[in-house]
Amino acid sequence: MKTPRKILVVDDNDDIAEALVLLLKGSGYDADRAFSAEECMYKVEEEQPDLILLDIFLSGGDGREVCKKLRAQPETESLPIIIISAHPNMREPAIAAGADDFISKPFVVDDLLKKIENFLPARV
Amino acid sequence: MDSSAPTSHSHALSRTPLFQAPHLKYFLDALSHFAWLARADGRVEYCNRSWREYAGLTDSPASYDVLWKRLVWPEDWPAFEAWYEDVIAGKMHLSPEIRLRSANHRADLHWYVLDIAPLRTGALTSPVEWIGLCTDITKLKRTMVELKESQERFRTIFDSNIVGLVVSDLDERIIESNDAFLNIIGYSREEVLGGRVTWSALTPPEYDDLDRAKVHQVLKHGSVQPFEKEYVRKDGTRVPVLVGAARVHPDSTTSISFALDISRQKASERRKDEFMGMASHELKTPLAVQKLYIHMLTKAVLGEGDKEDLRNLVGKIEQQTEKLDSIVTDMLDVVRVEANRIVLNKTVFDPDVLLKEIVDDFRLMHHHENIKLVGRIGSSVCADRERMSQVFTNLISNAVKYSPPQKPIVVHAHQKDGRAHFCIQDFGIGIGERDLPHIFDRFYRVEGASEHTYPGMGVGLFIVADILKRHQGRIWVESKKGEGSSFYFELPLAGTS
Repeated sequence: MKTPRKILVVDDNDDIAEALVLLLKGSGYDADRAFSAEECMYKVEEEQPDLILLDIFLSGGDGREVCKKLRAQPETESLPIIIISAHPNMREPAIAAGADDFISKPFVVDDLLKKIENFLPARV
Repeated sequence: MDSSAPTSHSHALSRTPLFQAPHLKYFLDALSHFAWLARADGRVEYCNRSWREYAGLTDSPASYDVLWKRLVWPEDWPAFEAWYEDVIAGKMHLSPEIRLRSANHRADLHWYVLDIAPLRTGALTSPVEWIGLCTDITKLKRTMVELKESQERFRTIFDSNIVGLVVSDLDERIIESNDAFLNIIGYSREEVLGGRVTWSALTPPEYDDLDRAKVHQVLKHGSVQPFEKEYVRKDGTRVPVLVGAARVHPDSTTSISFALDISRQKASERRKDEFMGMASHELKTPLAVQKLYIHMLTKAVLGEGDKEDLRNLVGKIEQQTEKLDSIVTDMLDVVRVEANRIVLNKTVFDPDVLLKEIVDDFRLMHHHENIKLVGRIGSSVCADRERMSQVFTNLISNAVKYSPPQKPIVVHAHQKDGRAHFCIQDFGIGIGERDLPHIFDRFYRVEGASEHTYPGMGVGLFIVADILKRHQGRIWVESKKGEGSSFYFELPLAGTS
C-alpha cells in the first residue's frame, strides 16, 4: 500500500481544523493541524506535508505572511498552498502572496477536494 | 438785549403771558405729541388737543390742576415729582421714563419721556413760562426689549455650549467662538481671536474643494445645509464634525457657523460596520464546519459507516447548529436592545436553583470542572428567568473563554441591603485599563495581537448590561491585566422593587 499523501491544515479555529482533518482523513489523506503561524512553520519542517490548507487569519500572524515565508525558502518554494478565508475578496491578496489557489468559506466540499487533488503532486 | 435782571423780571411779569398767545396754541394743537404750557411755578396752563383727548380733560385751565395726578402711573409718581421739582428749580434734564395712563384706562400703559424747555422773551435769568413735550417711547422700549431678548436667546444657545458656535468672516477671520468650539479644535480663545487660527488652518487639504463650494453656497443662498468634514486640531489629530453656516446679513461676509463633534457617532458607525463584517464571518465558520460534517455524514451513511461514527458526526453538526443559533440570537438581541424592544417575562423564582443549574451545566456539558459556587442568596427574585440565565451564562462563558483551563472560576452569591449580589471571578488574562471603561459598549471588542484567538461579536456584555438595567439592577467590573476579572452585578429581591 502506498503512503497516503499528507495535508497540513492551518487554522486557529478549533472546529474548522478538526472537521477538515476528519474530512481529509476520511477521504484517504493523512492530515494534521497547526493553530498558529509558528506551529505551521515548525510542522512543515518536521512533517514535510504534500499540501497546505492555510487560513488567512491566524492567531499571532497573517496567513499571507506564512505563505510568503514558505515561498522564500528553497525546500518549500513549490509546496502547494491553498488559502482559505471567510472573505471572498481575499482571493487576489492570497494569490499575490504566492498561494496556488484560494477558496472562500463556507466552501462546497467537493470543490475543496477537487482543488486539493488538482494541486497534489501526482502519486509516484 | 436787556441785561439787568430786576428790570427784566418786572418786564416779564408785566407782559402778556406767552401761553396765552393764540398762534402758539394753534400750533400745539396740530401736534400729535402731547404738549403743554406751564407758568414759571410749573402750574399747567394749557394742554394741547391730543393730550386733552387722551387725558379726558376739558379746555378749561381748572381741569389742568389734576393733570399729572390723573395721568402718571402711581408707581412712577415719586420719580416724576422729583424730576418736575428739579426742572422748576432750574436743573434741566430729560425726565425719567414714566408710564401714563389714558383717561378711560382702555389703552395699555405707555412709556413716555418728558422734555421741558423755558420760554423766554428776551430776559435771561429766571424762566418765565415752560413748554413741555411728551414723547411716547413705548415702541422703542419694546424694540429694545425684543432686541435684548433676541440677543439673550442667541447668548443662551451660544453659552450653553451644546454645539460649537462661531461668528466669523466666511473667508478667513474668526471673530467669536464659544467654549464648545474651542474644545473641538483644541486651541485657546486667545489663539483663535488673535487671528492665528483661520478656517484654512483648520481644514485638511482634501476638504479644500468641498469647503470652497460650501462657502460659495452660503454667499449665494445665505446658508448651507449641515455637512460632514474634519478639522485639524491644534495637536495635529483630526476630528470628524458636522458643520453648517448662515450669513448674518446679505451685504456682509460675516456668518454664524455651528460645528458638532461626531467622533462618537463615527466610531459607532465604524463599530456597526465591523459588527456586520464580524457577524457574517462568525456565521460562516459554523456553516463551513456544518457543511464538512454533512458531507462526511452523507458519505458515512452511503458507505454504511458504523453507528458510532454516524452518532459522532450528527453530534458535531448539532454543536455547530447551537453555535449558529446563539450567534443569530445575539444579533437579534442587539437589534432588540437598540430598538428598546427587549420584553421581560418576570416571575418569582429562586436564583440559587437557577445558578446551580447553570454551574452544573458548565461542569458537565462544557467539561469545565473548575467552577466553584460560593454563598447563596436565600431569597426569591422577581425577574425574567430566561434572561437572568442568559446573564449568568454569558458572564461565566466569558470567564471560561478568557482564562486558562486549569485556573478556577468562582461564582459568588450573597444578599445585601435587600438586593441579590453576584460576582463572577476569573484569574485569566484580565482587561487593560484602556478597554475597561468601554467593555459594556455596543460592539466593543478588546483589540490586540491575540484578538483572533478570542472570537466573538462584542455584544454579550452590552446585552447583559441592558437586561440588568431593565431589572433595576446594575453591573460593574474590576479587572487587572494578567491577573483576572471580577464582574459584579446586583438586582432587587422579590417584593422590594
